[in-house]
Amino acid sequence: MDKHTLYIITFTILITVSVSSLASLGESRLDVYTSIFTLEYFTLAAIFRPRRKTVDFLAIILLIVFAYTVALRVIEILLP
Amino acid sequence: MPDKIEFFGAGLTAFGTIFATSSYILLANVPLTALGVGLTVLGLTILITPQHPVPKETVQAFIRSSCENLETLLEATGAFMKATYFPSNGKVYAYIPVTREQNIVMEDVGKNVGNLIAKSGRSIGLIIIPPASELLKTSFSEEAGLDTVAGEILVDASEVAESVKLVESDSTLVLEIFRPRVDVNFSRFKAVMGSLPTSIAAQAAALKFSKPVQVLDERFEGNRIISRLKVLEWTSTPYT
Repeated sequence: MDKHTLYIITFTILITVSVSSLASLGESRLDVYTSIFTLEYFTLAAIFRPRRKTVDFLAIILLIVFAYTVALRVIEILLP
Repeated sequence: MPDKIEFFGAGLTAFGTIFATSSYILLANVPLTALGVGLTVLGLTILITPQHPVPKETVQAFIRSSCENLETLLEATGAFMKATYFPSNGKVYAYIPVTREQNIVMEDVGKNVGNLIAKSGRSIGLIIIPPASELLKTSFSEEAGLDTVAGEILVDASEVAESVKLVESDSTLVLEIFRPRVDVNFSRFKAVMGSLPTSIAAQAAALKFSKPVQVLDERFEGNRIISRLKVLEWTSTPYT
């Protein structure tokens, strides 16, 4: 199977599994879901090294969202 | 024109966005919102991932054809001495001495870029664009070390080898190229330019150090190639 097809299929499976698992655990924080998506996206990108048609803007967006989430959590801890 | 998979990606992105927004605003349901976000991310991933990249075999066939042309040229000119790879205007060229007497310095060879034949006194040589030279232009990053650059070009971009290790000692570079996947069986080409993976690595080194580089020797041990490259000065002659 072509590695790009395998990459898309693996990503689909991971998103489905992570959403269903977290939902079944009763997770109600959206940032947990987005952080997991970010982690999966970067892990698969490192494993499959897919080519991109354009600049990987999705990676930039996910990274910004992840950084914002982490920053909020850090602020929550430092300034309770 | 977008193909079916691109329409699917665009559709998934649009559906995911609407689904996430409506789940968040109307239903206030986080798992459904997350599912919508997940679908959007997946849709965008499909959109930015090419489904039909140029197959590896096609790229390798192009490289082989290019090497075959060079083999013909080298046979016709009777060249047998080792090539020297040198950078010029962000591109890498190879100088192949044709006559035995070589008193031309690499600096003067560099001035002859654009001509097929470089001549100085009794020194005559060919200046050619080696295979994969264009690949280096697109894959080269200034900040990275040579081991990273060689890995990116040999492993990621051209998929010519599985992995590369590099040891630097003074002006000599020792490369260990594991599991080469593409090579050519043109004897003259190999004798003059080195094996294909070594030739590409030498081009990367020339571009990285901005100096001429020559393949000193190479050994084939099982599924790896051990090559020694020499970084030359611009004032040196292309020794054989």
